[in-house]
Amino acid sequence: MKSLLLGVGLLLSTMCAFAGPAKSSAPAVPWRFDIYPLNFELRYERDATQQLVDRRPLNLALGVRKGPSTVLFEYSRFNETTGNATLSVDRTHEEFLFWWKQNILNFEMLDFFLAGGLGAYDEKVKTTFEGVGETTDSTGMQIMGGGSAGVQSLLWRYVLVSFEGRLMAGKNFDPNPQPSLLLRLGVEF
Amino acid sequence: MKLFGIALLQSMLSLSLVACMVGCAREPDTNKVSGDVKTRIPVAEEGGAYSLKQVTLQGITSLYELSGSFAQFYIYPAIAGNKLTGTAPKTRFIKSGDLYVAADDLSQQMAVIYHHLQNLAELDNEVGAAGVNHWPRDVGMAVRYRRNNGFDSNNAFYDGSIDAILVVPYTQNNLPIAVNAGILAHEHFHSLYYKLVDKDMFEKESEPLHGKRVREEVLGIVANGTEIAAKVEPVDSFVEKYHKLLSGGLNEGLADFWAWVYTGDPDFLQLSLPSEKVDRTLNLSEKAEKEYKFPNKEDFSARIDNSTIRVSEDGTPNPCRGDRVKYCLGTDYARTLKRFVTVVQNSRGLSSTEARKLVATAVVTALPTIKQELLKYKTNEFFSPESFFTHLENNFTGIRADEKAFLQDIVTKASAHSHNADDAQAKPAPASIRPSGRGEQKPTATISPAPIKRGDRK
Repeated sequence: MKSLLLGVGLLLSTMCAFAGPAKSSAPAVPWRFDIYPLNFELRYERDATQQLVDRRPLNLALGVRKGPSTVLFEYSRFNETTGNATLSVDRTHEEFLFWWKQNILNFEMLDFFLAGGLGAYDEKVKTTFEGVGETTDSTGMQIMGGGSAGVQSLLWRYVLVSFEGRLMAGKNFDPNPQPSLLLRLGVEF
Repeated sequence: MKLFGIALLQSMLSLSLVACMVGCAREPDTNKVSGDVKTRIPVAEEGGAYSLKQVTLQGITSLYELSGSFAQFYIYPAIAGNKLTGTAPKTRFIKSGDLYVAADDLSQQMAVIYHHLQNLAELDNEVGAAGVNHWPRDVGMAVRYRRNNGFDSNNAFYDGSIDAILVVPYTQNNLPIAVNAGILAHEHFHSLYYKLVDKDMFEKESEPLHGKRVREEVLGIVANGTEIAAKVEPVDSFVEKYHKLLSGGLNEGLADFWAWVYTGDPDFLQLSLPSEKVDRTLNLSEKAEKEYKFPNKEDFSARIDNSTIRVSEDGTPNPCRGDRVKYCLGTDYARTLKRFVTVVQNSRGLSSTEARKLVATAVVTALPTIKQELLKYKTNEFFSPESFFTHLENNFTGIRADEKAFLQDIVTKASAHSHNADDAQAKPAPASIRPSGRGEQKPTATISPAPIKRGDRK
């Protein structure tokens, strides 16, 4: 809880920095809405032998942008089933994150950005014993965060393409932080 | 090129702090979990009915590697210097309330094995086998065991030379071997048998054993480090083969019995290896019990002679072919001991569990004397299979008249039973056929025999 409060505090201070006086003297910048329905993510976890194995989460994001700053809400989820027809373990990992994304450098059509995220994850484990029963257990919401760096481009005024590398951190992530690559395709209006 | 406001660096710094603050601990929290850990795993009730139950794993030093007082795991292990070595597998558990729940099958299997080894350590204490094994036990997971041109699957081994239980991948769709309580108890018993009987009995003469030659060790011709010039009588090759197979059969049979002592399930094997049910069940029909005669030396010798015959003249497979000959004898031992437990239970008005433990105690007590008898093969003396029950009787403290009568009846009937050339077909035997081939790794004992290779004699 202490970490959560501290994290929220830092995020708020970040937002305040953008809402500072510098904005008042600048020309009016329109609000834009971003939708990313097609996201291809490769997340790397360690397996039992400490080798990195990839997970491919379903990833969706919505956001609002004002000038070089974007706030995104992102949902992602992946699933891993191990075992056999008699005894199986089904693990579902879900994340809910708010990202603050800041373009720091523009080069022609390309923006270089850094981003930081804060949110929570939940991990559910369903153990199925054929003919005997099943149980579902959950970690409940656990705080997590992430940092990201990448490039994005707005094509034909409405189409957004971005590619980023991320490090996601959370309790019991293995490794911690967890590396990830993300390619987004979206629209902006 | 356009650089956005430097003032934003304050924000970026804050964002970085957010990410780092959330937790960049290099290792998951489960690595910090130790002591007694509650989990939920598939375990068997008395009689073999499985369910998902909460259990407590005791003496855990690291949940991340599931190491502790009772087990030390290795994944894809190797053997170095007569010791299992390799990487400790990393588990994945989630914390749900006060429970740590395995989030993948390997972690679940490790938790199950740890739980059963913990219980089997307690059983060892109860039946007088405390101190035979050292703890924690070494366990190899996902072991790559050479078999012909590939790797073995759907099996478990105990390897005495490295004193470890080895579990190879399970590819069938039944209860995984690593979760089968009976199979784990079976393999655990092999470690007791190895130390109480098998160790230093059959090694080749050239192999050093604790710095001494095996034969010198077992025959006691080295005294106080001074070699005595005693000539060792050569051992007949059939006598050695006979006793190796007999000891192997005793080992397999007592291990099956141990599995039943632990689970109360006479068909523990069929849950994971259904093909073994008919031949390895510990249940005998009433009719079969009445007609049953335990094999004597001649019967067992005939089985050995006939073990090279794959299919009999009438086209039925020889159930005691190849390496399976020892499993045939083993099943004889296990079934007879189960019947003896019923006699003890009825005679003393005990519960099945109490009676099983009482007989298990007598078995453990008898093993050192049986070892001495088996060792007489070095002087070309035969140990007849039914003699085991005489030793059991002699080592059963406070044995009652009806119990004694049962054991003596087994011995008497077996002794009177004349050799029958068809004995190999007549006796119960395991189903799958698994002789070992050249170039294979050879564990001390396996849960099921190896498949016969093509081209073996019919």
